Amino acid sequence: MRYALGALMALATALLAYSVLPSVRPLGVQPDLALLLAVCWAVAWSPGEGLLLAIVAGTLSDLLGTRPVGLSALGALPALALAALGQATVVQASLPTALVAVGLGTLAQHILHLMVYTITGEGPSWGDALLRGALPAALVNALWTPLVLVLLWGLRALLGPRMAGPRLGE
Amino acid sequence: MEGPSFQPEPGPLLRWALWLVGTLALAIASMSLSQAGALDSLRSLAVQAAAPATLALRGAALDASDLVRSLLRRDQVLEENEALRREVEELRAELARRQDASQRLAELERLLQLKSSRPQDGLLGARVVALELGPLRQAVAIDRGSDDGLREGMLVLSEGGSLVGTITTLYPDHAWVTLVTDPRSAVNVTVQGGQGDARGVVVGRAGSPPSLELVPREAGIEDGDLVVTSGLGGKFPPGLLVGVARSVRAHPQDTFVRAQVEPSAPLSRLQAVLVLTTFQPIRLGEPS
Repeated sequence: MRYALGALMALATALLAYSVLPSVRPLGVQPDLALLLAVCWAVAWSPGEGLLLAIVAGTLSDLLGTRPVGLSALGALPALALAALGQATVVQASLPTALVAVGLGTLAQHILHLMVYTITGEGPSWGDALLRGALPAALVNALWTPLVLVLLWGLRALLGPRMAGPRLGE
Repeated sequence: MEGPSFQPEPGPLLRWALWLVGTLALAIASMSLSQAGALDSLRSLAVQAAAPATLALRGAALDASDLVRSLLRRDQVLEENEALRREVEELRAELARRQDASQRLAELERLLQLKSSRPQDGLLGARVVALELGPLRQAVAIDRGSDDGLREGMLVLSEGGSLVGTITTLYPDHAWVTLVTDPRSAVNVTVQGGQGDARGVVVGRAGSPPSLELVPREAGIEDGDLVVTSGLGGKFPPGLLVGVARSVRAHPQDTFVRAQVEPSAPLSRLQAVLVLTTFQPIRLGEPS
């Protein structure tokens, strides 16, 4: 049930990213729902499942857009690594863990994207991209984090924290 | 006598690290395949399959957005604003066309015994099926592709006639249009100011509006001046409205004006566009 729900949410985030969200851009930046979903899922359930969700949601998102397929999953790795570290050291399912993972993870994601685009010869100015792209994106993603986390906490309350089935990375 | 054997199991962190490495390898492999074009058919399938959903979601989002706006403001004012916005865009496009075409291009074309191309331009309507408006990429997907006769480099206009962007990635049944706001975009333009026309370049910026560059300070451009394509470079025909100059700053110590360009086309609300099918971009060679 949980995995089916995760897959549906991954599909929904990919569709929303190319339809609704371009029109809803506080600070001129579109929130990265795939990253938010993966990190918050990692915090609410387990980092392994968050990683799996990042791969599914990221691949769907890349297929519908112009990014090289796999770039979104690659970009989500630092955020998920932070979430996993936070889970190991801080109180589990905590909002601060998610906020730090999303904020710093978004910055790392943009740097990874910039590196890939620079390698492929399509890189914009790093200064502009970091100052006007990465920082606002980190802020906007962090602002959206409580919303997504509360939604997933609600689902966890309904579905239970640990259900039968494989738990990746644990 | 054998003692109890003990084989330590890998800890969660080690297992997690293995997962990370696996994902990294998977991501790099799929990016390589993607860059080689091996996943193009999958992309095409995904966009086509998602198009009905994205169109419906976008329609619903725009309706919801209008509803919220109408709750905050009177419906009549909203409708008037929308109508005026369209009218302003059309008038600006018309003004730009008239100024440019009548003052300089028509004369040149007459001299060269060329026909005026704009009235005979072929335009193909297309629906916008996806938008990507991130800080590193600004593009829209349209539901026309190479099967409809589109080619890379073709220009895309808004319904009001303003420049939207250029087709950069082509599939049989859809195409991606790189917007004029994309960080990779650069358009040679003319600024139609009160003190005469000035040439410059509109350059896309990551995370901010495109900037107007290489316009000499002496040109005396001002906020609100129209920015149209100049035709230099051969990638765009002259006289297409790009936008309006904003935040113009001309410091005495600067050689060039610093300004931004507000695109005239409503890029985040695009629903339908026109592809200019008859204009062929010129690939300029090196000067001898």
